[in-house]
Amino acid sequence: MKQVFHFGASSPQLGPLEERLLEALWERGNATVRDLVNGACQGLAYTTVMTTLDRLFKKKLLSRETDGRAFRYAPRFTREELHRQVAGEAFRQLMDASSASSLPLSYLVDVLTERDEQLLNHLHQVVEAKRRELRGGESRRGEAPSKTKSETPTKLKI
Amino acid sequence: MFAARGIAVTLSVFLIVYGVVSLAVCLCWRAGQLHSRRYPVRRIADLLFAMRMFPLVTAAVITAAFTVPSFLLLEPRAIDEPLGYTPLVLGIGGALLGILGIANAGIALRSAAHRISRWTSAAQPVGSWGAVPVIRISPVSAITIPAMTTAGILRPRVLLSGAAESLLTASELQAALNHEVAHVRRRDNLKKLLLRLVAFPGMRNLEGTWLEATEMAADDAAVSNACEALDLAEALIKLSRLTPPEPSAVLTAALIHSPTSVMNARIERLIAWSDERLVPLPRFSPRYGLGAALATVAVFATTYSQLLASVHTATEWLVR
Repeated sequence: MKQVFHFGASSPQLGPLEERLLEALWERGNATVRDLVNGACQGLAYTTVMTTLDRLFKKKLLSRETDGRAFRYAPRFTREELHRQVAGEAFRQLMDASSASSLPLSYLVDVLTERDEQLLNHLHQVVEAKRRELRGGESRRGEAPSKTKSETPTKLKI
Repeated sequence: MFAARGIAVTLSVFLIVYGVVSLAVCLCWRAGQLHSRRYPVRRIADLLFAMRMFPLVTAAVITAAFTVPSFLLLEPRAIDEPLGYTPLVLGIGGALLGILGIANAGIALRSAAHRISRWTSAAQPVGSWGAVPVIRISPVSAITIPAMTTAGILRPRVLLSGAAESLLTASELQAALNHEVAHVRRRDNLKKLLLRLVAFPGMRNLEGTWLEATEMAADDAAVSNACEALDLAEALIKLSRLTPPEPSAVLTAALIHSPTSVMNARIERLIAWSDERLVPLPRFSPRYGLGAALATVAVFATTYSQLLASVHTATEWLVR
């Protein structure tokens, strides 16, 4: 996410600490610097958290309101909204990267096809594992398999 | 003028009831779906379809049982009342709704007939499965054919591509054919045609969810144990590799369809098959239905004249 993350005109990228704080705020909903230092960001210096939150606020990723003498920060976007914007921005950059607009799309289709293929392979493996599990269960019970499955394509009498 | 006024009032009431009930269904169907999650998926599919058709049925019943009789019985024919602007506009809206629905269904039927005739231009009947004719289809020129699909409304047939037939093992093919036969038994293509008649903006999500539920209901009906569920899952995986999932052609029920996420959900569901899905749905005794019908008739018999008078007052308000 951080590699393609560009927000607004200044195009800042998200660093690991910024991601960590953003995650913590998504978990909590909102928090002050003290809340985070005492909770999800234990071990980090107060000033580090304060500076990072301020940076995220300037990147327009957080909103803040005064809470006593401190600021209470809250994410401006949900995780899904942010991912959607990041993906949209990445696609835009991809499309702008080449003069032939069909090329980036074809890369995208290739990647998606590859992922689909991987997913189908994974599902196939799960099916096979489940089959072995079923056969194992039946043989442990000393029963004949409920169905003889031919592994090669066979004509069915329709 | 009496007849024109009657038609305008009837169509206006139909449009108003249809619109209001459709809007209510748009807003509330998610709640109904959430409450029915503990039921088998075939019951959820039936519930979603019933919800989708509810506006049309309600509007038709109210119009036929109350609006038309109240107008015919209580509207004085002698008075030459002018046709107001409101019933005229609403009446035209109601007529357009009907015309659009019929045109939409007609276009879908024509498109389906055209596509099926292209698919079956070099087809061979190969027999029947569960009393449903099975036809082997082959690609002709550049036409993409589905791996397996159910086509037809009055005389549904299973169209099976030669590639799918040779790729699947006997048990996988059997499970896949059972899935398609389940669509035929549930008259899913006819239901899709009915959905074309009842167009309403904002119903796309409900229809999409119903489509998913029908596919899962057909999966459940096609298998009776974990082995068969795995056979069907394997068939879905193999055929997904064969043809990239695309939306089912209009008024057909393709075994492999988009979106891919639904295909994956179906496969995962089959892998996690549980015999609990075989538990038969509780059947209501016909006595309950008869009792409810008798009670409804009794209520209407005693209050019908009052209801007609109230409906007539409402329509009078509409005309003025």
